[in-house]
Amino acid sequence: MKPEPTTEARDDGAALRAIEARLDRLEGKIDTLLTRGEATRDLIDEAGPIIQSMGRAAVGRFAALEEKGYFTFGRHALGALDRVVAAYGEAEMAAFADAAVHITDTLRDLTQPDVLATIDAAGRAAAEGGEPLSAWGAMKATRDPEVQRGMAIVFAVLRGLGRRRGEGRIPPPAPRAPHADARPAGPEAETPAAPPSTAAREAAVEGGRFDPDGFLLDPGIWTPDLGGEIAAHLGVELTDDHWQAVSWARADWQATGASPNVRRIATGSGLGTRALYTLFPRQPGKTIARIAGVPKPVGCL
Amino acid sequence: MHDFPLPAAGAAEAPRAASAARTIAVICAKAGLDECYPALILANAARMSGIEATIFFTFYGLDVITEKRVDHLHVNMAGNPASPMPTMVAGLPGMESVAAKMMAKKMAALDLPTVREMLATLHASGCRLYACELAMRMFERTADDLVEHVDDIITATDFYDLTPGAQIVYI
Repeated sequence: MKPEPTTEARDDGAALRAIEARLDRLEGKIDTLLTRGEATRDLIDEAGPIIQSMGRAAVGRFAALEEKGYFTFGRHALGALDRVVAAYGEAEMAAFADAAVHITDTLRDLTQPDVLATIDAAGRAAAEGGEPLSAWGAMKATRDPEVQRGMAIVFAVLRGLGRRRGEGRIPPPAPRAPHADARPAGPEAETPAAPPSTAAREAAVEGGRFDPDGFLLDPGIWTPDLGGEIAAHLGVELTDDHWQAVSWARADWQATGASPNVRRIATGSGLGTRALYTLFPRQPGKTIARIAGVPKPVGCL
Repeated sequence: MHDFPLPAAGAAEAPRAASAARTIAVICAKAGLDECYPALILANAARMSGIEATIFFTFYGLDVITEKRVDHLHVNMAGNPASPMPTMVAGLPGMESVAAKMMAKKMAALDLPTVREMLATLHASGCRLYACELAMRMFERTADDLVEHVDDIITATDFYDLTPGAQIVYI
């Protein structure tokens, strides 16, 4: 495609200015619509991979256009796109918000074939691509209601992605127990109150201080009080003997830079293997490391 | 019969549903270093992970828990395609003990515990160590020939009775 810039470029500029004026008026409302958070976020979670690739395709197209010098309104392609959203009327946006809520509701059930079909169609369309557009052509294409709806979703997804990136929050622990599936799903299987280690994880992960496995992310913030708190979460009542193991492990980590394994703690702390298994009946090595606020011990022994 | 009390699983920490009942039983039927270490390490790792563990020593595996043999276990390089030593060489008299010495040196450098120490650790951690009754008769050994950490001498049927629901690993 050969660029035919001059007149179109001028047209582009005028059109964009007009649009921008509209956008400024609408920006607040759009924010509300697009950040009608939970639903959108759920949508991202559920349909993430497909929509992400759609988003990438869209961004790629615009980036390519920008490279050719078609976009005169700045180098921040994402920022520009963000504003183009506002070219949709208020009514469109409201409709989109409603649609988004509807879609996510159904997606959550994951049983709606029509919704899946929609996503499938979108995916196929994204795969087909299309003729490259001039900047003006792209602007015109945005008047197509179908394109508008699609773009609104893409922008919401982009926003969601950016938000997640920016928050840098720790993802909830991935369910790892491989046997959970194999167990009969009787009422008994569900009821055992979340085991303490999980509770500790959740509580701690929420505060952003622990990794998904329950180990302190920054050993530097450890205090004996925090150690006590972690132990309480794990359901371990700390006696002097417990503390002997924990403090030794902590000191050893400080001295060597590596978390001691069970064997090392058993000999180093003078408690012996049997005592360690009595004090910390389940996973002595990991439990001690968690309480001592040091990383997970590595190795087979 | 079993005087060593297993650590009460979940006494202090509620067991995670998935692994609460998990038990493994390792059958150790050979006494090469490359055959008994995996058994010992697997069982020990299970205990460290809060999984109940049992090791059943049978046939040549008895050597692993025999007082006079435990410190002199060898590794056989002959017929082992992964070994750096050609089989023709590995089959020469004395090569086995040379290979065992080399391996022992390597393991010491890695700070791997000796077999004897592994047995003591396993016993202390609550892993049950059993000798096979039939193999004991076959090799004409008595309880006095065994290391102190062995819990009991049992038959194959006892073995199944003592490890209900266990995942069985034959090494």
